[in-house]
Amino acid sequence: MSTAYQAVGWNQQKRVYDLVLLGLVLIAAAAFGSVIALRHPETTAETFIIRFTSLTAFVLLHVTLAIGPLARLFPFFMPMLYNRRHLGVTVAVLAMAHGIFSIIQFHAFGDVNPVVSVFTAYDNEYLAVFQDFRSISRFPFEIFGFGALLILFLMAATSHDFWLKNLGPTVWKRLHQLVYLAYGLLLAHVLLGVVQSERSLLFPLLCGAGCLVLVALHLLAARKEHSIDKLRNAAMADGFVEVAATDELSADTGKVVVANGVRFALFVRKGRLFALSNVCRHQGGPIGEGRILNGCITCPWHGYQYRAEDGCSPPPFSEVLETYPLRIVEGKVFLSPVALPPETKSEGVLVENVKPKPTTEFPIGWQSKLPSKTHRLMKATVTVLALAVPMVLGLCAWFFSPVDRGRFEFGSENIQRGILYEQPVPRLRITSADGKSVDHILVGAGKFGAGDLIKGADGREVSFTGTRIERKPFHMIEITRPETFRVLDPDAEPRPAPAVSTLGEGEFTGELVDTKCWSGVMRPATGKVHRACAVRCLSGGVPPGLLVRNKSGDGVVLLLAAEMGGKLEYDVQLAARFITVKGVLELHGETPVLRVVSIKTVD
Amino acid sequence: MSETFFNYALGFAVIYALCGIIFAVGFQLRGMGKIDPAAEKGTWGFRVLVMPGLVALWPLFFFAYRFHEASAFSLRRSHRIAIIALAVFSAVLFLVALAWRLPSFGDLPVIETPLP
Repeated sequence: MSTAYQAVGWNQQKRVYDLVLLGLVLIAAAAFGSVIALRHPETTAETFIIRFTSLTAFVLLHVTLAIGPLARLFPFFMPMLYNRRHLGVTVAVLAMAHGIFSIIQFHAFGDVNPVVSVFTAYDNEYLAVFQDFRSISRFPFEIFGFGALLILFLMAATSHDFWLKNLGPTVWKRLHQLVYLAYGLLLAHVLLGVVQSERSLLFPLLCGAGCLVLVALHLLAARKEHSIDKLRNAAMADGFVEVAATDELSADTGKVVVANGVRFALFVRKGRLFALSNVCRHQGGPIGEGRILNGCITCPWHGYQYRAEDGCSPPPFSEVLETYPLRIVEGKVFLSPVALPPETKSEGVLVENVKPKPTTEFPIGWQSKLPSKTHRLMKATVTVLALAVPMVLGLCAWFFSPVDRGRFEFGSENIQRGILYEQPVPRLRITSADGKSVDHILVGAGKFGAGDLIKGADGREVSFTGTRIERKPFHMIEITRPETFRVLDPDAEPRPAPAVSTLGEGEFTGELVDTKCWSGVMRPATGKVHRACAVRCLSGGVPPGLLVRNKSGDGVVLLLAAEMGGKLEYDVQLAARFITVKGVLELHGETPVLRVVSIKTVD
Repeated sequence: MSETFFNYALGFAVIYALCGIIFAVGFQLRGMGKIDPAAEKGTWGFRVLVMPGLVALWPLFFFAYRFHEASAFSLRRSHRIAIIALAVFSAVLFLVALAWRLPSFGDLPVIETPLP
C-alpha cells in the first residue's frame, strides 16, 4: 500500500518471516551436508550443490503451494500467506542455482552450445516415444526442468506489487497460476530423471506423498469455495436479491454473500450495514472474510484497507472497491448486484439485532505482533517445518546411490612424458623409474577427446602439460595445455606398439559410458541423469566404454574400439543406455579393449 | 536438424533479451512514471528488482497492451481446472514412470569372460 515503490516494504513480520526462511534453508543444508559427508564423502561440490538446491527448491515449492489451501481451510495459517512471495522467490532462486549448475556441469565445455544441448543432447528420444510409448522413461527430462524454471523465473520477476498493479490482478493471477504447470513439469523432471537413475523407492514415495497432499488440500479448498458459489437466492422484481438474515451478521466483521453467482461482502459498522465487492484490489483477497480495524474494512490476506461508506482506501492510497445498494425487509437483507457509481458516499442501512464482534483472532501481516494464539500456532508450524524439511533432505541424501569413485587431480598440472600410441585409443605409455610401464588414455580438456593434436605422433616420445585422472584399471591424462605438446624425437623410428593378448570373443551387455567421466571426473558418471553429459563427451571424442558386471558383481569398463582399427563409428546418443556389443576382447597392457563388430540396444 | 532449430531459437531469445535490456533501461528513465506514478519515486532497489521482469515482458509495455479483467469466479474456476488437470496428469505420470522404469546396473547380466 506504499505510495512510492520500495524493493521490499519491510515490517516486523516480514523480517521474522525471512529470518525463519533463511534458518530453514541453513538447517536443511546442514542436515543434507552432514548425511552426505557421512554416507557419500566422494560427492563433489558441484554434485552437492545440484542435489541440495533441487531438493530444497522442490520441498519448499510444496510448502508454498500448500499455504494457499491451508489458509482457506484453517485461517490461522493466514500469516504464512502474508509474505508467501518471499518463499516463492526463494524457491525460484534455488531452482535457478540448480539449473545453472546443471547446465554447466552436464552441458558446458562441449561441442554444442550448452543451452542448445539441453534440448538436443539425446533428441532421438523425442520421436522414439511415438514409436514405442514404453520408451517414455528415456524421454529427455531436462526440458521439463527448463520449462519449469522459465515459469518460476517469470513468477519471481513479477512478484513485486508494481507488476500486480500494472498487469492487473487478473493477468497477474493467471500468470502466477502457471505455478501448477511448473509443478507438473517438475514432477515430470523428477520422475523421468532422478527416479529413473536412483533405485531407492524413497524418491517416488516422497514425491507421490507430496503430490497427494497438495492435490488433496487444493481439492478440499476448491470444494469449500464451490459450495459458496453454488448458493442461489430469490430475487425481487426490481433486481434486489435476498442474501442474508440480519441475525447472521456480526458487528465489525465481514460476511461473504452471493447474488446471481457473484460474491459480495457485507459489513456492519456503527450499527449500519454496507455492501461492497468481495474482491480486494490488491490480490483479489476475500474482503468479506475481513474485519473492521481502525475504522476501515481490512482484507485478511495482506491487510489492504477500505472505507465502508464509499469503498475508497484512506489517503494517500487510491484503491477503490465497488459499493452496492442494500435494503432490509423483515429481518432479511436484500442487495442489488448493480454497483453504485464509484466513490459514491453511502450512509448504509440501519441494522438491528446483529451479533457482537467475535472474539476470535484476526492476524494481519502489518501488525507489529501476531495475536497470542496465532503466534503459538505459528511457532508450532515453524517447528514442524524445521524438523520435516531437514529430515526429508537427510533421508534423500542417505538413500542416494553411492557416487562413482575415481580421482581427478583438477587444478594440478604436470609435465607428462612418454611414448604415444594412437590405436586402439590415444594413449601415452609412461615408464616409471622402476621400469614399469603403464598406459594412460589421452583426452582433451572439457568434454573433448585428444583430437587431431596427437595425429602423426604414433610410436614417438612426446611431452605436454596435463592432469591425471585415475580409476582402476584406467589411467588417464587430460591434456590441459595443448600448446605445450611436443614430439621429442621427430627423426627417430616410431616404436612398435606393445604386445596385445586376446581374452576371447562374444557378446557383452552393459551401459555405454564416456570413459573420462567414469574415470573420476564426474560423480555420478552413469545413469540417465548423466546421459546428456555422456553424449556431449562422446560427441567431443572422449573414448567410449562399456560398463559391464564381472563375476563378483563389480563394474568393469571395457574400452570400445573399431574392429579393424581407425575411428569407431557408433551413435553417441546411445550413451547411458544398455547395449549389447559383439566383439573381440583384448588386453592392451592393463587396459581391456573390446573390438566392436556390432552394437544393438537392449533396454 | 533439431540442433539448427534450437540454435535459431536461442539466437532469437538472445536478441529478445537484448531488446528487453535496452527497452527496460529507457523505460526506467522515461515512461515508467507515466504509467504508474508510484514508480517514478521508486527506490533504486525497486528499480533493480523489476528489471528482470521488464526484460522478460517488455513487449507488453512497448505495445501498451491492455488486459481485460476477468471475474473472481473465473479465476477460481481456472484454479479448480488446473488442480484437477494436475491430479490426472500426475497419476498418469507416476504410473508410466514406475511401470516402465529404466533398468539399473544390478539388472545387467554377469560377464563370464574373465576380466581384469
